[in-house]
Amino acid sequence: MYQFSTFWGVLRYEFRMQIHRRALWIPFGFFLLVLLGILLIAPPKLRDELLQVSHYPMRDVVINWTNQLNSVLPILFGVLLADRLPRDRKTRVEELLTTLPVPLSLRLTGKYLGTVLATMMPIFLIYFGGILYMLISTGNFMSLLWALAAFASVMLPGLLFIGAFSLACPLFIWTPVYQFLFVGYWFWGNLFPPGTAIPTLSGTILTPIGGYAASAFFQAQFLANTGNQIPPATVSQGISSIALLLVISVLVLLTLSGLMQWRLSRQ
Amino acid sequence: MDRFRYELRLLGWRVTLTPVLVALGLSIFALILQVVDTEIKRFFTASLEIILPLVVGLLVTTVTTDDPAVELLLTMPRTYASTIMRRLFITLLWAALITLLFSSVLALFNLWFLPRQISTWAKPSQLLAGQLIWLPTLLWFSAVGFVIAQVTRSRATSIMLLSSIWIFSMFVFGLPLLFPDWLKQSLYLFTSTLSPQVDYWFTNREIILLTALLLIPLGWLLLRSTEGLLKTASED
Amino acid sequence: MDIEIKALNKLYRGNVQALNNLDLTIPNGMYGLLGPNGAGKTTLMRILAGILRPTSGSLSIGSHNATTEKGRTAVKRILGYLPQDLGVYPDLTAYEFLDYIGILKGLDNRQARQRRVNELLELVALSDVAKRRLKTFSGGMKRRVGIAQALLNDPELLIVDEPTAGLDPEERIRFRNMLADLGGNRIVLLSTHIVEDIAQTCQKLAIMQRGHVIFQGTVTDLVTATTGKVWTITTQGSKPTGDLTVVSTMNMGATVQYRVVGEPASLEHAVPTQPGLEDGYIWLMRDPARAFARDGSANLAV
Repeated sequence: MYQFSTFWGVLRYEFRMQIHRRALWIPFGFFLLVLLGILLIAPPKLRDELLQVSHYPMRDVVINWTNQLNSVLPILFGVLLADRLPRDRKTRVEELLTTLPVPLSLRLTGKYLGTVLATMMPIFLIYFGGILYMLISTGNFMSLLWALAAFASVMLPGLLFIGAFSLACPLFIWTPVYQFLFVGYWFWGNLFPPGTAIPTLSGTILTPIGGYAASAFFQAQFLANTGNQIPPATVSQGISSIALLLVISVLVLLTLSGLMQWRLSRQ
Repeated sequence: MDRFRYELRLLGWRVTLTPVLVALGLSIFALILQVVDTEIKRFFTASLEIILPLVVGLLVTTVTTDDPAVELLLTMPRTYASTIMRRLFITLLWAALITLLFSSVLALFNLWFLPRQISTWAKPSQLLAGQLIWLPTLLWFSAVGFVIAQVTRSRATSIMLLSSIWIFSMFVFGLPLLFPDWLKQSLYLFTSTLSPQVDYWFTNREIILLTALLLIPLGWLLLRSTEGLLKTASED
Repeated sequence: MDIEIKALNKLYRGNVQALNNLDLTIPNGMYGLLGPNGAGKTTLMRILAGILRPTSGSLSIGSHNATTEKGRTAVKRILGYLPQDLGVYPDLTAYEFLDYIGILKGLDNRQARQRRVNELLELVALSDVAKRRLKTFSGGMKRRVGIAQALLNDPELLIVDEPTAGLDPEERIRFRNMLADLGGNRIVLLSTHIVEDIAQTCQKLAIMQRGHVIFQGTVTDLVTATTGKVWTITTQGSKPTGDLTVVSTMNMGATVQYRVVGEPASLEHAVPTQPGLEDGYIWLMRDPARAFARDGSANLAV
């Protein structure tokens, strides 16, 4: 019981600290502005095409919106999470935290979930803002169900995957370098078209951009923005992709916890 | 001269080494691309226009917000604004020198992809005009980074905002037929790489360069608000 | 040189009134500025140092009007400032840091500057570690670097904010003596909430509370005003009652000895005691208006 309340306390405070950062809201606010700006200056024909969602099957509209956001917003998500552990050291809180009776693994899990959930909030709001527009303009409540399913299967596993790496890696690499490498990885491993001379993770089941889930559960054919074709995936491939992302996330966190414990024991 | 030496020393390895290492890293990556038989000219142009300017912009936000002795420096007869402007100038000068060297090597070995407007020019003119591939964007990201840093007084927020602008510039202007020409001419930061065929390349470069040059004095004005300078964002 | 402050106000964004119609005259010599946390001491120091601009009021430092940009720049030339939380460049050595600050202070002659840096390193007993990087320095050593940088331009006005916070007793005494030595021919404004620092170094002081000066005068004035208000009370353990503040408690085994400031309910076990500056400060803080009601001192500004 004590462990659960401690874990819950850590999660709550990590969530609160991250959600109050200006740096969390400004980039997403900027994204929203750009989005509105595009709609404002787009030629009328194109604007109608973008806004008149009732002309297309609801499932396709929702998955297209999901893919659009999932190709860009995870970059901000990963970059924003990268300074969480180094910050503990910079603010000299780390020393104090290590003196507390809370197990390190519990603290890390609380920190991971709290910061990931907080950083996910702006994405969640923008995503469901778009879904709300679809709901209002079509009156089709299926949009909500499709959205929940798409968010849970296409976006969430990728965000949890990125979250684990972004929390762990900066403990060993200087944060700005990690952020730079992460952005590079995103372009190379998710948006770069497969099948060229350069080998890439893009188009494999290990892509947090969620192409396999989008194809398996929603029959999506293209990744938004890139025009990259998604290989047609079966339901089991979709499930494998999600499972792989989640298992790797857990492994990364376990490794992080082990390494931190080892470091502490050597101090 | 002594002051210049100390400012350079305080800027440290992160400012002196980062552009060099990034240019080296990009060259090594290009070598790998060459080995797997991929066209590298566009990659090098992208390095000059897209990657190095972002790196320098991020350096500028750090250099102009991060000073542990700010309170002390505010009491000096040499104003803090002039100290920061000096640091900005050194950072930009150094980054520009490295990029100039990098681009000259690329030009010498004909390893860069040139926009249509200058692709048929004679070599010396190409070398000269080719600097417009990187100089406007480098100055633009530095100036915008500088202004954002002074407005937010938070390194984390500045880095996020500058990175967001960079990311959206990559995606947004690639969308076909979406923007009126006047907007593309004044805000399309990566024309040389993403739309080298446009006939407004020169105009675009000039507007971006001019915007950057106008933003730097704005940052200097913002530096004069000492109360703001003392507020280091707690989230950093 | 004197500092004349009249009706000085500082209103921060968010309507936080840090200084409220503050009047104060600071003469040449060591001058103490006491007050609880949040009294406005640091804001006043920063205004005097030209870092912050006052919202209204007048401020003259010597012949300079320090509310104007020109005046502030002139003051910076005669100023030495040691902030409460001195930030240093960790990768510079002590010598380099002082040399750099010297450059920013306008000491352009290289040889003279280097001579001055060496003199000051000697003064603060850091000559033997001058070539060590500041990141390896202890808190006390950094404080000494701080005072050395403040003295680089041989300032006519030296402002030190909480200089002894975090120092060990030996360092603190050393620091106090150094400041007292400096106070002979310039204004040394020492802000602190450590009463002992002022008691040992300053003849004159001001006490601030909530943006006001509630007392300005000599240490003796403040101590005299407290005479007859300080008692030592010995009990079996029960706390003394009455309109009083317990300043210290000492467990003597079977009995407990209390030092109190105020009016005990019973004088049966109370022995009148010679007051110190700390007692005077406590007496003043309890109720500034009443503290001087007896003599109606003109120095009282509530």
